[in-house]
Amino acid sequence: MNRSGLLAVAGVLAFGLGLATLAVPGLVALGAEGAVLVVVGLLALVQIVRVGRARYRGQIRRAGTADAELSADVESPGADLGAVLDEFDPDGYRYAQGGRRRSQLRRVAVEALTRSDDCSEPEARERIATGIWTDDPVAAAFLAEDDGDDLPLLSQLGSRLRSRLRSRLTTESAYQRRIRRTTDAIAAVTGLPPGPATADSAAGFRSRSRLAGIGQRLTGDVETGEPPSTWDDTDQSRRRSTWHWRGVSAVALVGIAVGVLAEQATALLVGVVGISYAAYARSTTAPSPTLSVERTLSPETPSPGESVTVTVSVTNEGDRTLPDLRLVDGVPPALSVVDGSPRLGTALRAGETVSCEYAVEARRGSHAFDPIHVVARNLAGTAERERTVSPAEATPIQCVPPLEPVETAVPVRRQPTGLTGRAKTDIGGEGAEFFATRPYRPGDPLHRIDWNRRAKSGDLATLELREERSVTVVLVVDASDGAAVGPEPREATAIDRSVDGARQAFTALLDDGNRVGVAALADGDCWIPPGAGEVHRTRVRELLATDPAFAPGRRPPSPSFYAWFSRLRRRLPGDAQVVLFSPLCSDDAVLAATRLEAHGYPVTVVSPDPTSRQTTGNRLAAVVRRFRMADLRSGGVPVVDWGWDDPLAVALARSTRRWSR
Amino acid sequence: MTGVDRGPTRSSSVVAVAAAIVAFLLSGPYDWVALAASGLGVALVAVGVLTGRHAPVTAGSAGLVVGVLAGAVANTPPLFVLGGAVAAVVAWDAGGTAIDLGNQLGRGAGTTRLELVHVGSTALVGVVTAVGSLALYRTGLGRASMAVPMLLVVAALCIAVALTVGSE
Repeated sequence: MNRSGLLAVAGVLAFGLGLATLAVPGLVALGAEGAVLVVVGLLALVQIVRVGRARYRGQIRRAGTADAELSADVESPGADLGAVLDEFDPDGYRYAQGGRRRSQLRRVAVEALTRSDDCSEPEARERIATGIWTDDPVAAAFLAEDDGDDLPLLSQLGSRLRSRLRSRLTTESAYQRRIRRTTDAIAAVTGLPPGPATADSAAGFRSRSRLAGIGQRLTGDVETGEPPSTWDDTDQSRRRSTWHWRGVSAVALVGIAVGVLAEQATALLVGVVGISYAAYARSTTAPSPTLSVERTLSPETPSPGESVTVTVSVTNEGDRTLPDLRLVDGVPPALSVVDGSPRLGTALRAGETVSCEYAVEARRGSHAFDPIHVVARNLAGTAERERTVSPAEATPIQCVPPLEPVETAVPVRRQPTGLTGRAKTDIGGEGAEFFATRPYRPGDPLHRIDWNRRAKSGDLATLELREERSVTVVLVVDASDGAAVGPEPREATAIDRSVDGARQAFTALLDDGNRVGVAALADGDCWIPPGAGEVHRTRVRELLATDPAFAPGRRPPSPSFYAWFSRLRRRLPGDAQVVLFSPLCSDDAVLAATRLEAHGYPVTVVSPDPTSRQTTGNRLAAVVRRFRMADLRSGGVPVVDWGWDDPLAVALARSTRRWSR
Repeated sequence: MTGVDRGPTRSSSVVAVAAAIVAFLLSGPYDWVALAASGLGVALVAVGVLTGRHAPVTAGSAGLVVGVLAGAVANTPPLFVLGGAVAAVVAWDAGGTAIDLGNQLGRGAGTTRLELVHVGSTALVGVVTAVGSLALYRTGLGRASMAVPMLLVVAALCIAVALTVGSE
């Protein structure tokens, strides 16, 4: 038995002896009663201080629960400014002149100037060094070689004082402000619209303001555990003492101290109440619940936007009552609850069943439920056990949206093939659209002769029309971890957008008589070879809705690019062209496009734009995406920039208009 | 949907404030110190369950206990002292439960049965203790030699130390 156990036993013995003395006066005699009582009273006061300090310093502990109601959080591109900047580690002058971040930003500025203003790299460096590349004096000075040391001392002092004052008033330091202004200046060079002119607190380097720190300290009396999604082993249960009653012994001590020191017997009664609760709180065995759960869905295969009613029934299979049972259902990460609550707190007798009901809004995909998070406490609430349970048969919510074609032509590259279809080629012949004129050859049909030209110059010429052939297209959807980003937290990601785009493009291309296949740039193996026909259409519809590679709400693992690329190359038919749907937020997609192009597969990139203008990091990520688009275009790959709020048809129409000009 | 309302659950919050008011009514009228301490206690418990923080609830309940003791020193009837002490502890327990349960399950979840069972058992412990010790008091604890309270002090000390040792 440990020390606390011994003490508890001694306490109970003393309590019993006290009661016995009450029954038989004189059982225990005390000499010099007054002095002893004072000493004991003081001892009790000392102990109160100890208990009080333990309560004040110690933390109440409890299980934490996930935000199951909300759909999964979506990171915005450039949420980590440092990570975006790290791609621009300078090669020539590492860490020179003012630290790493400044060198990296200088490199970004050079890249922006060489791409947008068509100047050479030495010229760009020269402009940055002299500060004539931007109108913003703060940005110009930050990237210029000098640190402003040649300014007069007094004005230096003044500016330093100003920046101190400003950083006191806002959460943004002078350094962060310079980085923000410089990023905005670079964004202006690349032609991006400016972001909000206010300081952003989440500049990426230091996100917590002073006020948040104080708030943290004030509410720091609770230690909340991690929800099951972050556990290493979800099969194991976790036990925890909650310290819910910590400090109740102070009631006993203070009652008795006051009673003894003031010689007031009624005050002792308060002490008795305290002792009683202290003993109640001493029971710390956490229950180990044995539960069976059942989950029913109606309907199981909804259409997008439809609400699905989920009913969870929990039965206590153990032979003991569970006095305090807290349940949180594992709502699929991509779905959000629209009605009711997936949580339940109840007491459950042996064999009894309770159920709770809530509704989620369906979205594209196959949505498997997470296990139910169970927190069971004992009656006093001093100990809790956490575990997860899953129903015997897990039914996912299957939501397969119908295929609808995009209203405009999908821009495929001109490619001569043997089959007639509707994709335009660079061959003159039979068709509907004017292509070229050529000298008349005997045997040309009369209705093709250019009679206008004959009237003007006397030559005989024949009109040629553009031949239309069918092409083989493979739609590649970027479903890598870099594409799981979006401008709004808890909304669609660029992968969702890309899949939407691929669905529309697939339908339109297939309707035009082309052979269309689908692949994903992802860790898993997602591939349907080019084909045609209704069976093929249904297969692709299923794949684009429910393939694990496109599962919404989960951050996909990062694929190993070279293995993926060689697999794709082995499978691609020789005459195939590729339409790549990618937000261009990672270099993998750019690498895929350029390599495919180099291997002779014509590539078109359709890029949903997931960037936002909120923080400095967001804006820098938008700048970097511009770089990637410019690089692809200069390498001969057409890129459709698909605005987040635009329908695909609008983006496609806008691009084809620009290309044909 | 903007988020999960993780504020303290309603039923336990109401119970906490009601118990605090009961403790105030039982001890306040007998002494100025008791009136001040338990009045402050009610206010702090209310602030705690409104803001969802443990510290004000604990401080408020401590204030209620101080009020009850001040009332006891000022010759409040033993029944009221016992009632006040139990009410103060129930306020503390219900407040803490409301906050933790609210954090884990939120206000939208059905938790009434759990809260009833928890608060009910706490109140039952208090009532049994109160009835028992009142009977003891009536049999003559009030007039017994101080050796009895002495032993009770030792008992309380031991249990208190045992609890704090166990918690470290």
